[in-house]
Amino acid sequence: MSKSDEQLVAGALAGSARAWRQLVERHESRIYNLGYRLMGNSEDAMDLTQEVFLGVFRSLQRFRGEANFRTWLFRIAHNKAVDLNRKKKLLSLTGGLDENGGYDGLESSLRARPATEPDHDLAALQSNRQALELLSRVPLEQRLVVELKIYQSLTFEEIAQMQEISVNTAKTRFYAALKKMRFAPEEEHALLEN
Amino acid sequence: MPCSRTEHLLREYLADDLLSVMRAEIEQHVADCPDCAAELRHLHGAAHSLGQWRELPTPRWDRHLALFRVERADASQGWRFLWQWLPVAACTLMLGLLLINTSVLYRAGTLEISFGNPFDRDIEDFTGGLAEALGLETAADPFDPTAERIHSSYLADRGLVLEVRSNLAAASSRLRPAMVDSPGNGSLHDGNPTAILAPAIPQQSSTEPGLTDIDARHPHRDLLLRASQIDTAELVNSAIVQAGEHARILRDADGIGSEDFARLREQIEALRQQKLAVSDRLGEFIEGLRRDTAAGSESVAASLDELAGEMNQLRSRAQDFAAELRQRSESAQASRTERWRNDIANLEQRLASALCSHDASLRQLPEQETITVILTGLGEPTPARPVTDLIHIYAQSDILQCANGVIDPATLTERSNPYSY
Repeated sequence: MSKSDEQLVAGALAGSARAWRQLVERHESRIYNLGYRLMGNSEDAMDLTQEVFLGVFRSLQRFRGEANFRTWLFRIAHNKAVDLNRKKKLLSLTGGLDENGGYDGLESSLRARPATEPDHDLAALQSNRQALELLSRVPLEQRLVVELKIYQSLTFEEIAQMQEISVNTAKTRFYAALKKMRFAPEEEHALLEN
Repeated sequence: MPCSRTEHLLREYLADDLLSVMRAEIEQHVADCPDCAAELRHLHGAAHSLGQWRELPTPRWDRHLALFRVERADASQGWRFLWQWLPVAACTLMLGLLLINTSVLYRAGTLEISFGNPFDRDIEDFTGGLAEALGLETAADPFDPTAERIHSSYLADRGLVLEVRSNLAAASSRLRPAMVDSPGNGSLHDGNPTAILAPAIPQQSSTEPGLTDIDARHPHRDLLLRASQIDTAELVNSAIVQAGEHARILRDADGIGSEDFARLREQIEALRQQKLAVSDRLGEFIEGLRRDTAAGSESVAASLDELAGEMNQLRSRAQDFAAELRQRSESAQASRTERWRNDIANLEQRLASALCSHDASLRQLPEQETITVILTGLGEPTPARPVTDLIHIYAQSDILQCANGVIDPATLTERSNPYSY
């Protein structure tokens, strides 16, 4: 029987490299995909993944098991994504605000993504590009709400706590984000047919 | 008149803890209100598209295991206790080694006690002669890690291990990326993989991102949609990037000099500029069409065809150029790899000849022992291990046979069963 996250954390704290590896292996894909959706490219997603697990590693002592490990992990991922985004903005002298007041580089990352990137599954490539294109339309704070709600199935209350905002603001951000992601006419047509 | 309650109702409709009474009430309203129904359909559509995300595999990384081992090893009290004994253990080990390497010899009526390996001086002479025979002494700088030299160590009952660093290892590091993983490999044979997606993905021009919201009643809607589907970025950009990569490989494989490389870079830059110019003109054309609400004419459609034709031509030229550079870079790589392999074969031959002629200084090496020669960095690279060493294990019995003329150096090399690790 596989060990729970909390058991693996306890093992890692006791110095077991195996427990730590199992813990990372269990969650790295989730965090990498989260990073890819938030940042729009593999390199930044990997940077985020490494930052997140470094953060987890450094605060393992502080994880007391009162909270769910996943929620705790997402909180770290959330904070690291905000930090990384801030750093990228500071580094980018050309970065500015778009008409939504929230340009954060995902759209440019998406456009700059080389066509030869080895995505072997073309259907997956198409779905993912479409999702990235939609996500690129909204600022990071809204994208984070969409990420936590749609992909991580967190409640608005959990999201509100994470972002230190009210539940109503979380709902409003989610609604505003989806509103900006109006789909293309052909998609609408397909949806009506279904 | 748009419904004033849409935002409030739909925002609540998305809530986690919506009461069933409220849900029923909102659904009743949506059923009667076309504005709210349309908006809800949009929201569902967006959520549906987002939900189509397919999980990407995580690239390989070390999972901070090295860091974990360093930091967590200290956390254990038991280990900390053991660390305190490390200096004592090291001293004991050194003393042990000293005693093991102490030789007591009775020569010409006197007892000689010597410290260290009994072959030390022989090995020193032997490696010196070997380095000379292999032409490795010229760059001898013991503090330069890249300098050519031979390191030797003797393992009792096993034999002599020689680590030979030749300047060919430096050449191998330049070969490696090209041999193992050539950028864009295969993509030109099969065409750009995203081309297959072109009809399926809603195309958006890089100069005009908002074409999906073209008013259905716009007189130029069809032309605008056609214009938006002209690929202004992906295929041309991809070919230009590949051309750049292959030009770099060509230079690194000594296929061209720096001047020719600069000329290729200029040609690639010219292609990029032409692509930008056509993209800009297309952008202006689209902007003009958007503003023009009068009925379209055939000449407008002809202009669009012309622009599309130019972009296609540009794409073909860029792809042909990339394909040509790829062919040249592959050919240059192949030549360079062949030269490198010939150089290694030559080094192995000199090594075997030197071993056969230098055996006299290692007569004391027991016949059942071996001389292991590690040619650093000269092994065959693999995708998993780009840097490998080439290893030969020569049996002392074979070396003696070679020295006595029973076998030739080529047979000695063959019997050493070289392998890469």
